[in-house]
Amino acid sequence: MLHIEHFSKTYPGGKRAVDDLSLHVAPGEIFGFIGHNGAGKTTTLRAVAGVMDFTEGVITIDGHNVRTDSLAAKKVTAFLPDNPDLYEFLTGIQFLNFIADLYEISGDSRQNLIAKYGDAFQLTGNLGSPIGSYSHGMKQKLALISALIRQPKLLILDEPFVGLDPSAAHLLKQFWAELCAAGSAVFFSTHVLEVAEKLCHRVAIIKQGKLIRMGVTSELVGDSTLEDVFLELEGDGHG
Amino acid sequence: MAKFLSLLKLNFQALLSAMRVGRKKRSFSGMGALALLAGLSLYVSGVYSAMLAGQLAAVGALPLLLVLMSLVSVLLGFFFSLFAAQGVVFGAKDNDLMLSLPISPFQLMLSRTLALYLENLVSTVFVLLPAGVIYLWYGGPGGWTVLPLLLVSAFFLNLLPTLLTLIVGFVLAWLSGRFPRKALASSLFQLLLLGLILVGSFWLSSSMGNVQTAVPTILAFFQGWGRPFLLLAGGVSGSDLFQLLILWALCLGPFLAVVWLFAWQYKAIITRLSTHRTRSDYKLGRLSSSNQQGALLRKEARRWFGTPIYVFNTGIGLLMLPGAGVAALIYQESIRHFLIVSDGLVLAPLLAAGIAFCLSTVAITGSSISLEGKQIWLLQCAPVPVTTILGMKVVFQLMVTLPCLAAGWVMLSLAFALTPAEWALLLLNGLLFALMCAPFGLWINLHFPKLDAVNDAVVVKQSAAAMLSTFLPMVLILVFFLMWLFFSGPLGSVGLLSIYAILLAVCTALSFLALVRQGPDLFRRLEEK
Repeated sequence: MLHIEHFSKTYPGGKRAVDDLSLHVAPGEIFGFIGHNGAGKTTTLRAVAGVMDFTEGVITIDGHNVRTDSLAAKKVTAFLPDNPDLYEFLTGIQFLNFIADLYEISGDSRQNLIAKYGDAFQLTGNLGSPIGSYSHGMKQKLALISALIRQPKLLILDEPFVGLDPSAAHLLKQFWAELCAAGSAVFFSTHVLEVAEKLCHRVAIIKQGKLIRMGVTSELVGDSTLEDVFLELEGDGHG
Repeated sequence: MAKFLSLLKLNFQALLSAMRVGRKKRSFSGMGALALLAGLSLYVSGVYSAMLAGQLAAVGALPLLLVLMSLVSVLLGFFFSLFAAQGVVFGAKDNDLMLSLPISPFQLMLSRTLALYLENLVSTVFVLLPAGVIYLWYGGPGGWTVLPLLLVSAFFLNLLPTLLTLIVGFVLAWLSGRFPRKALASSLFQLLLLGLILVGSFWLSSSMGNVQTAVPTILAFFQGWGRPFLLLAGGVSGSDLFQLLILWALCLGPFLAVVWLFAWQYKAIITRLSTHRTRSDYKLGRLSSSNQQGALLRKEARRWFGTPIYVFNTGIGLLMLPGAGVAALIYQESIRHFLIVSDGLVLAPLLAAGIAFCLSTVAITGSSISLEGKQIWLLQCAPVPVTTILGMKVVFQLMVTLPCLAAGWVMLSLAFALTPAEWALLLLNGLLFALMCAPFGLWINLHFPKLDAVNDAVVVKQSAAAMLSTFLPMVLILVFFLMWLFFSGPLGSVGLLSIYAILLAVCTALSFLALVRQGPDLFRRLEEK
């Protein structure tokens, strides 16, 4: 579903945020991307989502090159940044309708999907209010609904559990499972290693822009925990 | 005191950084923008003072120049800071952070108010000092002490526009707590203020045309609420320290009293402003769908109409176009009489320049990218061609501009009894100018984005892109005016309008070309700036 080959990103000023990263995410897979602050996780996710320009490497989503066939790649993708800022001058329903228009979701289908996810996240009643009046958690839920109604083939999320209450986090995991069962994939970054260990089929650990470990979660962890593995890798000479 | 000075520095830097161009040479760019403000004030003061001084000197009422120009300085300061006060003092996005710091609300509010005061001081000083120089040039009484006294008085007089904007901000806060539609209440109130300012400017301009006979009326007008301006003129021209002390006290006393009063209630005011009415009874009904273009256009419209400061900073020209048409129709007889008396004066090119001036103030696209702010990711990851995203921003500006242009054009053409060729060329010039401004503003904004502004006021009023997209097209208007001045005789109205049209067609083509060629790439790299 997602192929990243030799991706590198250097910011103006010379900082090399990501260095020769290659990884694949298969259909039906939940893939966790782990690293300390400033390791290059967000840069990678933003490049995959087509939000950030890059010149080195090739990224393809469902066979569409992110750089040369970006519209087709974006059409099958839903991206949520770590702190999703939304249009505060729109009401929740206006925002969802706007997103549905941009992603060309048909009228009946959008209504069913908004009802499904809105009710699940208990946000339907608030959809008539301006987003500016929402709490952080409500904004996070609205952003998640806007991503889920697209029925993406690849769901990219940066720190998705920050700001979510436990029941919303539980729901989110259910919807991920639903998406993956339908052949989609989830690629997300997190600092919550327990969640990554429980949810992810595979994980990748990145340090100072370089991939230092990748594999099936159970094999990578072995008898230890993901936290121990991560701390060990952070402490040793990798990167 | 150290905390307060740090806060003041922070707030003033926030104002300056709003005007910066790019990240490098930060302070220089902020200072450059202040220099632009100073230049504008200098220009306004120079033109008005020179117009007035000759007439006033002839009737021995030269000190009245200081009265009128001090009023102009207060009006300009008020106009410049009206929306900034709302954003910087009452609507700052860092309120949560600031109020959680060990700083009193009084210190916080005073520091924000003084930052505004410092910004206003530039325009006040650069209005009053040139007026003083021209006053002395025409032989006004007072001698060499006029300028230093005027300078010191400027520091006190500048408290008045700052005070007025604080009161307006408070009224807005009060209104916000009582109306469910906060944006609408705010828009209506600002419309009322704008109307008052326009009426005041009209009164001032018409007084200037006939100032010699209007001296007693003007003096009577200032006897009441305008007493501080008389005190300033009396004190400066007569080196009367007593009058000046009264003036300084009249400015300082109410300022401190109001600042103290508002600072005392500051936390309550900003809490009320940030409070939103929410409802939780929404029932999902049938949803309308549209194509990508329609969705983007609706979003632009909702942002524009839902952001009062955006509407009033970019919509004044839209009001002025039909407004000028209506005024011209009302004074149609006077215009006809003037046309007969002026004996063949070529006016259509001047009308074209006037229409262009109104259009240049409608720089909606000049702030459109910056106002996306941190939500820019929504458009960047959407499966929509960048050319469509940018195109819809241009189309929205044209959608609100063209109907007003058409209304103004019809009425002005009728009132000035233009020939069919002049009618057609006037419309063509207006259309081309509007077509040039929309992509040009967007191209400028893509070059100078301000995605991290602390509030919308900073973007719309003070950002480099907002200023450049408004003032650079005015350079073309200046060229038109100079051409009219030197070539209207040999070329005639139609000839001159045709040349304007050719120039505008070239500039319009260049604007579109620049946007189409560079726009998508600049848009993709927005967050790296």
